[in-house]
Amino acid sequence: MQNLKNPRSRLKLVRRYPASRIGTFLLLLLLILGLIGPWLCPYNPWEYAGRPLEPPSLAHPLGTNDVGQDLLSELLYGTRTSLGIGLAVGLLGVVLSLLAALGSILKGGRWDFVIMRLVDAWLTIPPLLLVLLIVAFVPPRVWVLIMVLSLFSWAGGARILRSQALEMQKEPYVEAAVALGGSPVHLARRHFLPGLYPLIILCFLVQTRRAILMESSLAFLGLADPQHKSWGMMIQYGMKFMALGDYWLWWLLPPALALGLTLVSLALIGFGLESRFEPTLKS
Amino acid sequence: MISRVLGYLFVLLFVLGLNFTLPRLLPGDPLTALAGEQELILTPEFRQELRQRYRLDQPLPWQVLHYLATLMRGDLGYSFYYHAPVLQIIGPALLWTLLLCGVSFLLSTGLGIMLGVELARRRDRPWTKTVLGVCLVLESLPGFLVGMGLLMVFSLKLGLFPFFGALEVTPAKSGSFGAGVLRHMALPLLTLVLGELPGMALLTRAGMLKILNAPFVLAARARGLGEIRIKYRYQARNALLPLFTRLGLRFGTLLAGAVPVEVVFAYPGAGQLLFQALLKRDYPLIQGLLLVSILAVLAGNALAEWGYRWADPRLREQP
Repeated sequence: MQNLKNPRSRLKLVRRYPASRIGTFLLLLLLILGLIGPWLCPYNPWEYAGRPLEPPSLAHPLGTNDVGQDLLSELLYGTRTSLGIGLAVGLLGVVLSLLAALGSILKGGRWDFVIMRLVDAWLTIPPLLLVLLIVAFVPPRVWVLIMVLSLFSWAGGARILRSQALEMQKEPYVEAAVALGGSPVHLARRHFLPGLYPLIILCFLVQTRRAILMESSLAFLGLADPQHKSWGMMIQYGMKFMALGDYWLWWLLPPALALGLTLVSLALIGFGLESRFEPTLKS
Repeated sequence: MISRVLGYLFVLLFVLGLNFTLPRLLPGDPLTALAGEQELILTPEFRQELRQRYRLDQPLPWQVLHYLATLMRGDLGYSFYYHAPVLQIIGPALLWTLLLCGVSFLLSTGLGIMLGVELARRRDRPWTKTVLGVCLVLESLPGFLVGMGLLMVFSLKLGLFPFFGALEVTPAKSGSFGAGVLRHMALPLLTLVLGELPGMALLTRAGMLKILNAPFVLAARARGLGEIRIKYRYQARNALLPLFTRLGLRFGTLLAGAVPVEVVFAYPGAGQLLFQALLKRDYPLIQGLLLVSILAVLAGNALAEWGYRWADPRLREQP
């Protein structure tokens, strides 16, 4: 691990974990698509660009939907929505987990008890059902979805991060820092954050994956921001035309593949990292 | 133990509080949530009568008490789309969902444990790597995608299974009643099992790998016990103990995961009903369905926790 700075040995490390490598490559590709997608789009996805239900052609590489909107443009815009919501929830969720975990460790005592009981209670809630309940009443704007999904995704990460931090607390260097009178902020920044770094990445990946999964399920049930095209929404509309000829080939398959690839790539990165951090899991 | 009960109470209050506040957050009148969009065309007199019936003209604390009292009586409200009490509508739907989720829960748990045990014990065989990859992919895909794939291949292309409903339209078609139910349940069941089994298998595998060569396993071998006995009574039992509390949580994810899957297969369960209610903006029905489901999951969690104490002899002695 000490020669991690050397780019060549770092490359070797990546090669030993092909799962992470493939996952990272796929995810980067999708991220780039999401970022530059709107400039690649041949049409505005809300514009009625052609006749309804056109099969693929040069003008519309993936055909058009039932009201004549270009499906490729919808797909590219959807990348942005799905990935954006997922990453935002992952980030917000992991910050919440970290705050809860470090708060319970550094404050200790009564704080630790209250926070951990809250985490335990929160973990018994089925997140999708509660999100459904809220989003049925509050209009599902993108920021509402991000807030609600983050609210129900932090507990698992908090518990994992806390148990790791608890073990770190017994390390001599942390004890020394405490004995020297290091402030909680100093301890968190200088000792806990660097030590928790791998787990933070893992939690981020898991929460992002769950968020994308839930967002697509919600969109599939018709609970999505109507101002932003998303893959789940495309799939929901496309499903009505599933039994009708070959429409599924260019209407359902592309968003399904995109969604599947995103989720699988996130899972691959997570799995690769996990087997790297925990050697007993390696087969 | 008391803190656990307090935790459940807290969650219960949170959910009930949400259920009480959300309709009152709707733009305009909370009557929209109770009587639907049609309240816009109500006469002022009838509106006044409705407000009185739902106690909306009284101060907030009284409204809370009234809400709790009606819940206690098992009254979940009145579905204005179906023109019937919510409880009466969700009954049969919940039964179908319970059947679907119950069977897939048992199947995915049992098969998942067996698969996980084998994956851990034969971790140096080449095929386990492939299975592991498949598990990883399946675990990360949303249920409705897997379901749509299965529906496409087995129902629409091959015509092996029906693609909607839970019962034969014409009872005489496929022999007995049970066969029809099974034929309709097969694909949604397979979808849910495929979604849940890999997670269980991966967790079991991870747990098994940690104790594969623990001293007690060596001791069991030294006593000349059979491999199957060692595998399940000694290794799996210890590897699975920490997973016990997750069973309740898994039932929750299964129930939530069944919602989009039921929509894909037009299965007449709670998920499909919820989808219809969302389309129709039938708020009392949405609330009733979700409240009952969430309470069921909470009860399941409590049961799993209690079961954990029973299953782990080390915890049984403690108060």
